[in-house]
Amino acid sequence: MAEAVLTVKNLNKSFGRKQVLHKISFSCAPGRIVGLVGANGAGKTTIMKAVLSLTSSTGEVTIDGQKSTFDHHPVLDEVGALIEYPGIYPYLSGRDHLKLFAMGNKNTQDIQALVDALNMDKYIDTKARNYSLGMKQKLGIAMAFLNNPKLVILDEPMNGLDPQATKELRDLIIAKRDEGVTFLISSHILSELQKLAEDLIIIDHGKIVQETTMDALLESNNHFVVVSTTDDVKAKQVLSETGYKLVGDVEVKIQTKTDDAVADVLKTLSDNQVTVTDVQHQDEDLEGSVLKLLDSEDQK
Amino acid sequence: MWTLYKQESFKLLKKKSTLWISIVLALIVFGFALTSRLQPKYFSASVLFTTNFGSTTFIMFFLIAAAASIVTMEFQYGTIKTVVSQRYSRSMILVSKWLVILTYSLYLYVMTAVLALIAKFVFVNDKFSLTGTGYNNDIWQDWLANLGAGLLTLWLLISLVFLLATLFKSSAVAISVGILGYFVLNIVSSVMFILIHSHEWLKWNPINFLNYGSQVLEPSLSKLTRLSDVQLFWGNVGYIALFLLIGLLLFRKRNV
Ligand SMILES: Nc1ncnc2c1ncn2[C@@H]1O[C@H](COP(=O)(O)OP(=O)(O)OP(=O)(O)O)[C@@H](O)[C@H]1O
Ligand SMILES: [Mg+2]
Repeated sequence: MAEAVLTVKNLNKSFGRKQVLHKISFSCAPGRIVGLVGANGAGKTTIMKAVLSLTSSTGEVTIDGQKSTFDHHPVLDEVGALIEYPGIYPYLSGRDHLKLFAMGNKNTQDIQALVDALNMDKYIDTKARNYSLGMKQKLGIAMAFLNNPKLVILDEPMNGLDPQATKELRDLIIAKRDEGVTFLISSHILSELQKLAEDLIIIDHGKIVQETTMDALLESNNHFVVVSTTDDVKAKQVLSETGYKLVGDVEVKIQTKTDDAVADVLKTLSDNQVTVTDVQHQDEDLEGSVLKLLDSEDQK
Repeated sequence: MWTLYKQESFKLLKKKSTLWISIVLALIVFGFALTSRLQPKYFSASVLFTTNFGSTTFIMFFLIAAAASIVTMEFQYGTIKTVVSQRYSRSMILVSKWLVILTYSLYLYVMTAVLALIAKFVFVNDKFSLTGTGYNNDIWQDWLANLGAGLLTLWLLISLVFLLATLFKSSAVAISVGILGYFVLNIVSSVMFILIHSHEWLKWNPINFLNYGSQVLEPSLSKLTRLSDVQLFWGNVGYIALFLLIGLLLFRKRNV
């Protein structure tokens, strides 16, 4: 595996006596989209702030092979970020914001490319004072993508975005990922994150609960097959006698390990003279697995 | 560092108030010059001239506000996150803010000085001559000495405002303390002089050093301040350095 773009080792952070991060260690491989998932107050924003030297912490942050500390962090040149809500100067236009933080001189086209990618052309030259929530959010995202960063850290990037803008953002993230940019993204909109993230870091109460890939997590999920029959009562009886695990009270819902179990289910039913009228697959999504995971953590 | 300086000046110049302040100051200079022409009994043209026709007091108000907001607006708008997560250290960020305000204060002083000269020749050329006698020296010498000393004591206030702005996230507090400090000086100075008379060491308190500008014009004031001009000069420099340094140390540790 190539050297990680971001490595965090033993990150601890306390506010007064309250410790909010406990020995957080993880790394982000180049060109991957890493999702940071956890409940409200779990510490996602705090982790990101520590990586960006916005807040002091103990532990080690290495970005692109260089140590980054609270006082000394030249490597942040290679990092773009949007944390919590976008910081906006109300008296500047959107384009002024981008010009303000753009480095070097060949940046006029870069700025225009970002404006186009996020569809901000209509209002980019008006004062940010009058922007709506989503317009500000898009500007904040554009600022995170400025100066061709190697690592982009986005905290709740979908906040306030309409479906169209959400799609534009997703396309932009994937396009940049294909160019080799690494992403660390936190989001509560797990259905969106499921479409994006390849690696997952799940945290709870300031501790990493699981570090996995999206595929592995979804793989370990439960799959269900729901069948509609002419005689549900008989169907349930037959299936449970054959040894299938039934869940739910109303429908005939069978928990299976693999998709190809369906054929067996259908055969069992037809052998017992139950007519099947419909078959549906139900897969647990990211939301389901995360909820389950956090739930089992809380019971510990 | 140069990048940060450019960023800070960009932000300052894009503010509408920055343009307005220059216009208002120009109006003040010409307004007072005209008044001293029309009402010479109440307004002495030569005395007003030494303060760029009254504009230095207004410059002080404007700069206190500018210094407070250049720091606190970043916290208010949440833009500090973007500013700090660049490659530069917190110290460099704050120093670049000092330098921009320093440039701004020099610009305002030079601009109003040039306008004051123009106003003198246009409105009150017959009232006094630059080489005439002012307080103790030539008027032009008084003028330059007062401006120089005024700029230094202005920075004493500004350095305090910078310190307060890093202590409190609110610009309102920093601005109020700066401006109140100025008025308090005028009110308490007589009491302070009595106290200094009985407790000599009190003469080292920072408020006493704000008298530098007046003492340059009125050397007899040293009987009250109990300090020489040279002591006042270095005292100002020392307090400015102290306040800026404390502010820097606080800012370097600041979490956002
Ligand atoms: N400035 C602060 N002072 C004190 N405690 C803080 C501060 N900032 C965060 N915390 C605490 O740290 C913990 C983690 O907060 P953090 O903002 O990182 O959570 P989060 O995972 O981003 O939550 P959310 O999903 O709501 O954004 C919370 O318990 C919070 O109360
Ligand atoms: Mg958060």
